[in-house]
Amino acid sequence: MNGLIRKDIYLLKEMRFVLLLMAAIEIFLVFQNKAVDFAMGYMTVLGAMFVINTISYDEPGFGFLMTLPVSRKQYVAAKYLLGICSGVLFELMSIGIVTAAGLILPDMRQGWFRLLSQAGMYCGLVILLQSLMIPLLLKFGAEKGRNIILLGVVAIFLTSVELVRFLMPAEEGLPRISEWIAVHSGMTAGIGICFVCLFLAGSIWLSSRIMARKEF
Amino acid sequence: MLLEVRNVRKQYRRFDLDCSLQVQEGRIVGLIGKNGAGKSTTFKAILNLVIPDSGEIRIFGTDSRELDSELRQRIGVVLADSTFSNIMTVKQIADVMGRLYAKFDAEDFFRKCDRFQIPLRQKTKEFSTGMLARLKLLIAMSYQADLLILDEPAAGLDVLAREEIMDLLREYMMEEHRSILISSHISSDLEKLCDEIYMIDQGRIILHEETDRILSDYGILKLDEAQFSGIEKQYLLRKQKEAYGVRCLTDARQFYLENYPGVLMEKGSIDDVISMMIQGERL
Repeated sequence: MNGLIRKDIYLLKEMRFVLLLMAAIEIFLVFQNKAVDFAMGYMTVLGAMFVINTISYDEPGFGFLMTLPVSRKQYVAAKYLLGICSGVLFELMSIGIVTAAGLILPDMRQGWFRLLSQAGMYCGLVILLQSLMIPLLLKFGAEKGRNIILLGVVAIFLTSVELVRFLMPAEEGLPRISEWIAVHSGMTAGIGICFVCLFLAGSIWLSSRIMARKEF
Repeated sequence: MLLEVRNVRKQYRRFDLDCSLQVQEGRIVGLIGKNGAGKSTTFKAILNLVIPDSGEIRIFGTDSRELDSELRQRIGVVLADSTFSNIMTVKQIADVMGRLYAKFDAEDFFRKCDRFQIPLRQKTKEFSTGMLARLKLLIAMSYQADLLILDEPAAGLDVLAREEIMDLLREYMMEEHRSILISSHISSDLEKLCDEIYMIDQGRIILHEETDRILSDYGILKLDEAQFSGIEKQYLLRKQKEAYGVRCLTDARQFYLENYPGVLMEKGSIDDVISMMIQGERL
């Protein structure tokens, strides 16, 4: 598996200019617009997308890769590991930029607890996104998979909005949820972590099954 | 037996594979057939890249679906249409190979790259067809695999480049315990290299023979109608109508040379044998 991860790192190296551009945009967002929350989320989502690129680079050579001395399960595990590590790395980068901004501009100083809980939340989000994306990419390929993911994300977003509207009156829906989360922050974090872990486990199981049945 | 493919069947909408073949230690075995005959599907079934509907494939005595990492390290593979991502350089590929294969010999690999003028720091997408073909083969040969499975390793190359590839393979076979299963649609490549040849057509093995026997015992008889009606047909494998009469394939050339000195006999090349086996009519 070490070899597979190394291969992916070389593939990611190809995207170093995109990475630099992303960092520049984040710095701009933080310093110019003071949009700390948005910047952190933006870095997370874009970071999650990086794993897509390694799968699309692998795609033309999938047949050959599956003849290497690694099992299909190991291939899947390598992708999740890479995805999670890159997500965490991007979060750390965001924390670094936001902290630097706080040192330069005192009005932007963030409390450590707030910063870390936000980073934790975005890490959870990155894992959820990747858990959704990886099986779809493995099943349908990068091209088709990307479109399905886009449609899926839109569908989930719209369904969630409608669900909240249905359950609570529009004017008090979001404030009520925020209030509940603030009061039960520990429980919310616990539920969130459990949900992310379950979703991840399900996704790994599904991806392994897809790969086991895949023909090249 | 290094590789045994027994009654492997795979059904597609417009194509059926039904194949059996064997590769013994120390042998070079060729799988030859026209484009779309089933060579790549056979290779993919052997490498577990397609899942056969039935049959059995054993590599080093182990079911191919249960090969562990250690056994996979003893197999070198060239696939016609796939390798590492083309945005990687040879240096990077070597680094990855070193982490995947315990016996990867980086020094020897780089020496061979140098010999074939393969640049180490250039992305493989910038390589010519010949350079890429050589690189794919060098990768497969870089970790002392016991069995090479090579699907069209010389496809798209000119005669000289193909000859170079064949030389590399001959060099590789200097070690006695090694074996190669190689496919090609260019018969002359395999004629000079292989100990035995399987011919495949429409997913079926239509002939399995020692290469030397094809070249020495197989022949094409050119007969007029009168000669054809009077000739012993026991050793004729196929016949084909021609303007002058009948063209026949035999695997007992000597028999006809001795008993019918008047008939026109041509030595059978692999191309002739293939074309007669596929297009000819059974007797």
